[in-house]
Amino acid sequence: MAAEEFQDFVEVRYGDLLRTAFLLTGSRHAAEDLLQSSLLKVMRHWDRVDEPLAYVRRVMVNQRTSIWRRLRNAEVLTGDPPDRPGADPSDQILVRRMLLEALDGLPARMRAVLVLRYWEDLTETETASLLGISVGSVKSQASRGLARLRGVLGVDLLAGRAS
Amino acid sequence: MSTELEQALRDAFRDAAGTVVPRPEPMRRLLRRRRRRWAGLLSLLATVAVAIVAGVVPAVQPATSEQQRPYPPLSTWTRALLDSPTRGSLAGDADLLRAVGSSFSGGVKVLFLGDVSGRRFLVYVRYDERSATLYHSDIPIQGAVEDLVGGAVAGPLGPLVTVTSTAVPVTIGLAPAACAIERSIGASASPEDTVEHKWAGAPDGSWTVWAAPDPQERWRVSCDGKIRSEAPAVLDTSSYERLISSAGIQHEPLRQRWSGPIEGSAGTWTLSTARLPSGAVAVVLADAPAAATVATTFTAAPGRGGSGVVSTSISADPDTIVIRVPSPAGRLGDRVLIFTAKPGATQAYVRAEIGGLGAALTGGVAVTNARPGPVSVRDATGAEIGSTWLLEEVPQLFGERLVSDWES
Repeated sequence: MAAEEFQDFVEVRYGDLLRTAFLLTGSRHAAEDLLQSSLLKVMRHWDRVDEPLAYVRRVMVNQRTSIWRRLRNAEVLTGDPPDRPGADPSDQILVRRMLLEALDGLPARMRAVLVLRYWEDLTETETASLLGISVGSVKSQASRGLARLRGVLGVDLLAGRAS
Repeated sequence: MSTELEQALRDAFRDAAGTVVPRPEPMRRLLRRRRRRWAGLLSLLATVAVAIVAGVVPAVQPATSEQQRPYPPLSTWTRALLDSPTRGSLAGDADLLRAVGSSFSGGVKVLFLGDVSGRRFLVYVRYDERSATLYHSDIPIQGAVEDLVGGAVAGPLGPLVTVTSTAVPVTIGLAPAACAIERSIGASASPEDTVEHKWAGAPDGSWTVWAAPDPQERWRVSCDGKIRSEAPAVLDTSSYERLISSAGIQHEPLRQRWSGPIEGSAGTWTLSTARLPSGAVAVVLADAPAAATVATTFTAAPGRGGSGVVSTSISADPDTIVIRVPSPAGRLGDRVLIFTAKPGATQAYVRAEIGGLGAALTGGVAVTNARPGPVSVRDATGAEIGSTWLLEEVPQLFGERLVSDWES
């Protein structure tokens, strides 16, 4: 039963989790590597996991922010081709690339705060719990992260995306 | 910290993440990776690795048959649609999505969640190992989630989902994220009796929302550089005028040109034409005032009203027309009706299996078998006084091909 539940979870949630991993890593190969390695970790404890989605998110973020993994920082080699890009109108490519480059310039934990708050739409409390930090720290990291993105990308460019 | 900047970052995240589409069968790929990892460990620590694997890892096995997967057997592109991100203006509302998701006991995938024209729209798929069913609902924006999740079946699930509301004039089109939807923005008839459209990409790429009465346009969907679908966004058979409009063709009012029996086909038939801006005419041949079935050569498409059957064509010369006679089931074959309003016309000549074939015109009409190719109308001296063209036997509507190619 646990095996079937895990398979259901992977089949249904893989796409959503892969997109989160992509924002955490900035690369499709790295995202798939991060997600698969996280899922393999979770698979071992599946029958003891109460909230699978939150748990996988936590594992992904922890893996991403761990010093060991960042030091490794090796190019990920995989036998599978990367995931297909979706429709990608040319006028969005530049904004997207600049966003990913700007995210690459942020500390891993600050990047995780932004992804959890503004992509996963977790509350400050949920984000703090997932990262194992205080709510105050989430607030300050989010504030500084937004300020860094504003400085790197320019307010007008980001504001233009919202309009 | 500005709310605008936070929202801008949300939008930018959605833009960036929306480009990531997982390949099919993630579980199989995950297990393949696990096997590779095991192989590496085994080469290094064979005995220990075997013990760990046997003792700790649950017995998750790769899907050896379609029945073992949580989704029923689905085509690759239908699966790609289910793997696409949720679309719509509320796709980023995690609380609402969570509330919607928690309202279902089984597997559910929300394809669209958004507010359009004062209504809240939800398009979702409920699935288990045996079936996947598409649902749609729309309620007032202030409505409760409980009302929103009580959707009605919205038709078969395929790679391209089109949903229309009965409460407000809204049509939503959803294609896999790796695809691009284009909408027709005008049509012209060529001298070869075909209609050619100009196309514009949908603003949202792989999905589109039409907030107006039925879209009178064709939608074209391309994936991996190949046209997968091309057809009217919504085929309206409530009247022949609307049928022509829904095919994305601007036209003048429909005018009856001929009425009478067709030997071998029951009922009284009418041939009507509507003039296009180019001077060509859209043609309908029908056995009832409104058609339930639109014949498109190989397939029969159920419509929304009437009980008859109709076939369509296009003709650059409004006074020389050839159109296939539909079967009661809505299929087309070699049998054609030739109509001409040319004074003095006595004979029609068509391409036959071998060479040509002549058919006498009675009251300007002849019914015969013909192969695709030129059709000429001649007077008593044998001089050609009109011509048209019988199109190839491909699925088509008003001379335009209909494409549904999601298999390869």
